[in-house]
Amino acid sequence: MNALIALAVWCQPHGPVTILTTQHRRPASFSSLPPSSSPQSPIPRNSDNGTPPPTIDSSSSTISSNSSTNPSLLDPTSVSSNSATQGTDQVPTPDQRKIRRAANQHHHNSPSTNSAGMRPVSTQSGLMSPSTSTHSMNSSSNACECQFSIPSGEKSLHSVDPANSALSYISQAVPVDPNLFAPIRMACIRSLNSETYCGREGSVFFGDGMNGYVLSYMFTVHDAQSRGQRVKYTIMTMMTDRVYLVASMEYLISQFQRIAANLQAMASALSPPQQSPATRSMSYSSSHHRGSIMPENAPTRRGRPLTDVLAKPDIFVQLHAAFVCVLSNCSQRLMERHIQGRPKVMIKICLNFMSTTFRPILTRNDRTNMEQVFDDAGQSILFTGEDSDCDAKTEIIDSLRELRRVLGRHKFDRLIWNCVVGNQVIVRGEETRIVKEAIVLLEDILPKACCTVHFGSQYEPTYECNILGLERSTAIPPDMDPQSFILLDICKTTFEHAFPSPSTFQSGDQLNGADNPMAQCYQANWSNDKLKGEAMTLPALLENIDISGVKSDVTLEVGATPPTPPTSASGTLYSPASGFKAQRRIYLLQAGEEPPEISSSLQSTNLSEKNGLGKELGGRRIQSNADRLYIETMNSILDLRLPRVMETARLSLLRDEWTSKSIQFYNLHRAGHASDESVVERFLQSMVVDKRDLKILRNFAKCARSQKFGRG
Amino acid sequence: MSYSDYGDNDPIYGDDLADEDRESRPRLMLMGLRRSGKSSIQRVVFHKMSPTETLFLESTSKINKDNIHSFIDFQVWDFPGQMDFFDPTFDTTAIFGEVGALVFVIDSQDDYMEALARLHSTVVAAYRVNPNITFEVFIHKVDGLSEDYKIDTQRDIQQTTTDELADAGLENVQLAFYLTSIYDHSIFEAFSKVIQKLIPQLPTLENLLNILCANSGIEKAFLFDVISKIYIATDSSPVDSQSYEICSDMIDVIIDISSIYGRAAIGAKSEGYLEDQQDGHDDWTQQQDDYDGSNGNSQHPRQGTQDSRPPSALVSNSSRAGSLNNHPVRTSDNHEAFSVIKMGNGTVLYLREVNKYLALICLLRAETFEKQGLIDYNVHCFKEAMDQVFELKRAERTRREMEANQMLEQQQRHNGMYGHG
Repeated sequence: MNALIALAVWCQPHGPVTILTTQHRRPASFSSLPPSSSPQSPIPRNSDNGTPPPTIDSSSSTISSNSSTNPSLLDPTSVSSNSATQGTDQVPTPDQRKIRRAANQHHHNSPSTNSAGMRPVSTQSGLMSPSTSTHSMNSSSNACECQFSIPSGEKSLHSVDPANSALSYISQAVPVDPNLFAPIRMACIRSLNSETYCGREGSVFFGDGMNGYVLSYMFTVHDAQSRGQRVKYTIMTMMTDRVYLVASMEYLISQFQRIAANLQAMASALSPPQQSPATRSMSYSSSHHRGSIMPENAPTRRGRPLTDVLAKPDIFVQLHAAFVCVLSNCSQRLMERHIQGRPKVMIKICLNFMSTTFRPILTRNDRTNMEQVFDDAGQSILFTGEDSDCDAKTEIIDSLRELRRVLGRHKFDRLIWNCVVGNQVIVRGEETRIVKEAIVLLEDILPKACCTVHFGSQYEPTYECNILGLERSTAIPPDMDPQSFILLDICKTTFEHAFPSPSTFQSGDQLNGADNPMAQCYQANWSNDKLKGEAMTLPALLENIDISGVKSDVTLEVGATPPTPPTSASGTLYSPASGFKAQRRIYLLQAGEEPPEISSSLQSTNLSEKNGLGKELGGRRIQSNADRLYIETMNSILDLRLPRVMETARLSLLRDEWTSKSIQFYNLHRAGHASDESVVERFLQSMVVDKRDLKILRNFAKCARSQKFGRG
Repeated sequence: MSYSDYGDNDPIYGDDLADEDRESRPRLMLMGLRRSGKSSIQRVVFHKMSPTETLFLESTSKINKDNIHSFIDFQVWDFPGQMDFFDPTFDTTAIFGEVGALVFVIDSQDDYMEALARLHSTVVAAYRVNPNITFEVFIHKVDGLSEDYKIDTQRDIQQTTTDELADAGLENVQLAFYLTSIYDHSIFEAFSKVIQKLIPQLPTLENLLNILCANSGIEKAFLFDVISKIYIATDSSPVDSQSYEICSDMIDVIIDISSIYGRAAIGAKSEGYLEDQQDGHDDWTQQQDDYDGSNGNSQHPRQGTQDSRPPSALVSNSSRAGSLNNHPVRTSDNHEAFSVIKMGNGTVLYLREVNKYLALICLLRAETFEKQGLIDYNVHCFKEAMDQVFELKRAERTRREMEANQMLEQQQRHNGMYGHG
């Protein structure tokens, strides 16, 4: 964990000032510190005390060049044994504050180095002694009296983590790493000056990737001698890891609250019994007009350090202990782990359909196999099946992209096209859940008004519902126009043997090859329909899970030979030497209308980019982005492989866009211009809609109209 | 107490404005070193805090934005003195881009050399961001200084500042200097002059007042913002602070009395005032009327006068307060606040409500006041003229609102079709 806790105050003369920062010290730079050895060591920093971090060294050199007093800067090391900390010593480094706050520190530095070269610094070695010189010319570079100080005069405190002795913590007025100074200063200004929160006490979370994320807890402490009798403090945690900080937020806030409450309790214990504001104002307004303030609560000009406010000289030691405790606990609470790849966000679009009656059908073995089968190029779906309740989640088709992957782009296009132009979509399958998921996905691309979804065991005509989920065995009336519906069969099949090589598949075996599981499946399905003979003539596509791309597609013309299984695809896919048992689903797509330019899309989908690069179609050049077909647009969204949340948002945006287009088309229709070719053409141009997508608009508008009429 | 506060600003939570509110709202910024009295000024002028109470104000740590809803809406921004807001980490254009006036407060009881340095850098930086800012310098806390010393201080500060600005090549930047103190009326007077610069209609208003004075034999006329007791316009005759003070006191008296003898629910009126509705101000009126009705003894008004009299400036007048003949008159023909106070020295104070934020107060000789009908009529004409002046602005605003509404409706119609589904 890379975190830092800082305490900052709204100082009367200086505004926001950081007074104490506690942070990790890198284990490398901190060898275990024997407390006894350091006081005696005259040359402490290089010998046994561990070399300071390189950043400090570099800063020290800059200081020595600046400072006229003592360039050696061999500050003595001393240990003041404090009950609160495991090991306390003075960090053998010059503070960065010396860089910023020039004058005062030089004064401080010279006596301490001179006097204490051979012995531990015992008492307040002139810290803040030359306070007159601090109020010099420019206000920004003044040291502030509020800053960290402890009676023994050291400038930093150390602790070793009780759990992990390699880990240590350091507290001093400014961060060890000078690069951190600016972010901390900014966070300090921001929390004390800019951020608003509710009431007198509260926490704020802010930050960005560059300066780190900050959780700041602000509170006030009673101080009779400051203006308004209050001083504003803030405790800030700063991390670079936003997720981690948010995850530990609750803990941190509770801890900070406790620390703040402690400080406030100490402060109010000092104050005389509380005068209510009313009596106070009375006494003043009744007394002499320009009320002279009593000396005991005259506001001071200078900021008062926390040690004075609380009358506890060792308050910073206590704070250090508290902060170390928070840091240590916080890092033990949560473990950071580096994860390869982008995180998967599973969106359960179909929660409402996921009733508990659906049992996971596959065993875990099967599932893992299946998932491996599902492995798409570049996108690995690795479900760590540690606990059994993720069973329900693993086999879902939870996004259109997933659906497209399993269907193949060509079939996906067809399915979507038929869906959006208003043909009835029938999804059949034995796994009701999968069926429902597929339906939910399809439903999602349609405007609300266009969806009438029905689940059942009986066929419903298209005017009853345009998306129909059926059981596997349900028959479909034979007299339907194949152009007006599309049938998606989802069946599963288990391969007990090694996957058949392509040669075992004969297209002629398809219908009666009893030993071929795929054919069985297909046949069983088909014979259950009394549609068999007729459906054979349909431009049906039988497709396995498509892995290697669309090139394996076999498109059948109407009246052609029976559907051929994609032998080549399965052959390449299931060739792994293990010859595993695979359970897989088969997606059969039958009937339905061809989407526009299906042939060209077949080719273009093989291209990696689908931007319609100079595609000529119908003598008309399709602009790259301007009037792409609906399906193209959708595919391009899916091609982006966005995180699920964003993808869903983009898709619903697309839907809304088309909805609003169709509203305008509907208005056109109402105005009676819909039959006028030229008007429609102009309208389409203005809407940036391809002519062939007019069907979609018609469908959407029709739904909208009927909805309206139905509403009365 | 009624009208004690502008109210809708919580000093702790600050106040966030909707974007459309923010535009065309002049900003008045209070800057200066720490402990120079910025927050005190803001509290005393706009929140009616008692000056002695300001001792207990906390140090300001955030920019305290205060929305003032009055005859013109403006914002008062109170800056923390410790911070340098011209630092590049702050968005200076956002802060200073739209500012109307920058008030720099200098503590005159302190060594002001540091303050002058800060003033100089502030002026230079702010001028670079926005050359349209008017700069005002309040030489503050002068209540502790002797008269001579005040003048010396002002001259010194003025001299130093203008010299430095000239050195920096900013001769054309005009600084206005005021000696102020929250313990007397000087802060209100100074603020009046600052605010007046923010009012685009000021010349018209002054002209109207001039005409009124000339035709009615009025010695001095002020147009007051009732809540803050800032006068937003006066006729062109010179203002002496005493006449301003007595007018300011008169408002106090009227408000005090109306809150004592007011009939309407006390809780309702302070809210009502702010909710931009006429009823709010009708309360004020009704209280006046009530007071007039129940006006049996003149004891209370006199007491009120004495209490609110500042000790320093108006000693001579307040010694005569005993002989003041308070004589509020009720005119029943209209429903507006109206009050006349006749003073012992032959001066008559004549107060008339102009609209819900403003009151006209005239000082005139008792013998002129004999023709009260004429004055009433003239004031009536003046009010109509005022209404016309502000009508322009209102019309502009409503037009803009209508346009915005239309846009909104169109959008809704646009998306409406599936919205029902």
